[in-house]
Amino acid sequence: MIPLIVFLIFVAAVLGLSFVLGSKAKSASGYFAAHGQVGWFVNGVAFAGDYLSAASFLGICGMIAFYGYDGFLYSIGYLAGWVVALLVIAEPIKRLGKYTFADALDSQFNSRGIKLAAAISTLVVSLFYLIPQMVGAGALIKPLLGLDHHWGVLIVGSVVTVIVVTAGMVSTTWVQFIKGSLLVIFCAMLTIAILARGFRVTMTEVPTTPVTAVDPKDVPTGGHVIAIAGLPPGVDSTGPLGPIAFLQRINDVTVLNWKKAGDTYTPEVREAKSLMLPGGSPTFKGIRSEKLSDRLDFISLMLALFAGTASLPHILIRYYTVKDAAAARRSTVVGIAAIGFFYVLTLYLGLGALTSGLLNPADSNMSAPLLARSFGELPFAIISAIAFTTVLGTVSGLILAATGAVAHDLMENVFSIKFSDTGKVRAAKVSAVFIGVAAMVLGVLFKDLNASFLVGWAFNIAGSANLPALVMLLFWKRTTKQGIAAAIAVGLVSSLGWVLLSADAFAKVYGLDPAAAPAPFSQPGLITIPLGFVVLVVVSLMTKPRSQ
Amino acid sequence: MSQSEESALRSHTSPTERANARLGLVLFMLYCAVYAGFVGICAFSLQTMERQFLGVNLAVVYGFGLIGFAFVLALSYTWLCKRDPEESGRQ
Repeated sequence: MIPLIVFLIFVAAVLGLSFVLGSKAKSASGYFAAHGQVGWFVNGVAFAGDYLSAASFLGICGMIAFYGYDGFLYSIGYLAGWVVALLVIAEPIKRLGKYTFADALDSQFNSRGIKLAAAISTLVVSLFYLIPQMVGAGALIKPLLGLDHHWGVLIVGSVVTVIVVTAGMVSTTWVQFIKGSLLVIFCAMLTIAILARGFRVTMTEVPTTPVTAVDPKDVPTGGHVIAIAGLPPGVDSTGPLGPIAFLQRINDVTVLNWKKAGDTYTPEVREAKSLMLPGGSPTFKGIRSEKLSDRLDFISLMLALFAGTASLPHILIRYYTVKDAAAARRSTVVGIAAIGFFYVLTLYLGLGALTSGLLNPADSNMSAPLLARSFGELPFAIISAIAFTTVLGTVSGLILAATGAVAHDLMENVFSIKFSDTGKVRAAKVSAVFIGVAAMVLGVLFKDLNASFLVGWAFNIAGSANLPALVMLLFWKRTTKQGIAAAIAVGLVSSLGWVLLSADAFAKVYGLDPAAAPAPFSQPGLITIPLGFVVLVVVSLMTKPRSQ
Repeated sequence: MSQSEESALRSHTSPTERANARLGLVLFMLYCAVYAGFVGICAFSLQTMERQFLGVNLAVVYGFGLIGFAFVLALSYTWLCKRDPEESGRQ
């Protein structure tokens, strides 16, 4: 009940804010870009609120708690992408664009082909990112607030649609600012609590026989510390530890977890030290494989995380909300500070969950909230509510990006529908409602799909379709409009085609034998990102004017 | 608009913008090399990641190092970036 109350307070606050700010978003400039008047600090924290999705918070913590270091690989890759955003993209995209990233790509060409390709790319990437957020909202609401899946989807979809419709980028910015601040502050507090507790033995009689649990209530709890090497006799706790000592002492800890196979849970005793190396999870097992293709799959994913961040449309549009290039730079630095700090915390949160004694072996996404429960019901309530609101901040950014692609890029620029300024805002609001409803329908339809891998695909597609066009436009004078349109189209189709023919899609989407998949490895970025660059160069050279 | 005009437009950036872009690319290449080193060690020399530094393995040290290095580069870039006289005038 307490998580529901905390969540409702947050929702009431952001909805109230949206209605208050509604008057500031009556023009297209206000609706799509908050008049370019957002302060660089607020924008920087809003970057964090936009970017740190449920996958970042619950997914990474859960992955570290279940498989150790591998979750931290995502933290490293997700943050590295921001270096590309700051050093390569931020300043020029602010200078060249207006409302959408298609504006920047097309700023010197006035090409329908570029606008169409960029709009479709925005919609595809946003969709791939949106589905896991909505499914995640549904999956979270049952354990957190006690409601059914479709209620989670409907609540998030409705609240976000209202936020976007009432005040567009103005309210979205503040929702993301509040969410980003809450997430970083409370995760920091939780980390301090973890360090203050240190490691303590939570189980002395270690079970050896499997347990069958059909009812979720009967699932055994894992994450128990059963031994800590180096403690004096009679002592069962390390006491408070510093940040470095915590990472040193984890090597002395032995934990008990439960391995799930159907409804049967088998006890598994492991030294935590063995979990502190990459390659222990199903996602990154290729690191320890002898097959080159498995290692290339890992490299490809890390490349996609690196290249994809700076190409995500919902991130790029945030550069139009500040007044100039210097503010764009500063806000990215604030974003990197907040996001980087959060990702450092994820390692402590994940290891804290691993040793909390409250790990649910049936649901890795609950690891962070259950870690909070090990400190009491109030921390659990707050972290649960924050977990749910992480979805709000990210989904509002995604819907706004998709809305810009539909109303500004497609309707006005591609199909040449003439709008007055207020008419354009009205069209955007109607689009937001349709996109919000579509998001809710997809969230319910894909209920049973383990959709978290779609985020990785979104990074691959964004990196393949958008990054080559952005980078070459900025740094290669011979780039032509045909080259840009072709690079986006080829990057989009090749990466999308690759993921749909991958072993991951065969196993997780179609339910087919993954060995039958024609793609040699699941993550396409290693091939399709360079392909985008090659296509752009070749097409630009083929279409350059004779005078050049 | 002809394509030669388009190219001319695109190249018409201020010296400040060009200097900032060059600085950004240099720092980007630096980070790329460090990031590629991390991914390469993970993929092709995993046992190297087991090496201990102050009781913590290289995988953790390198991972934290990459996050910290990103922040240091971000601060350095902002510090070193030049500002357009027009932008400065608006402050």
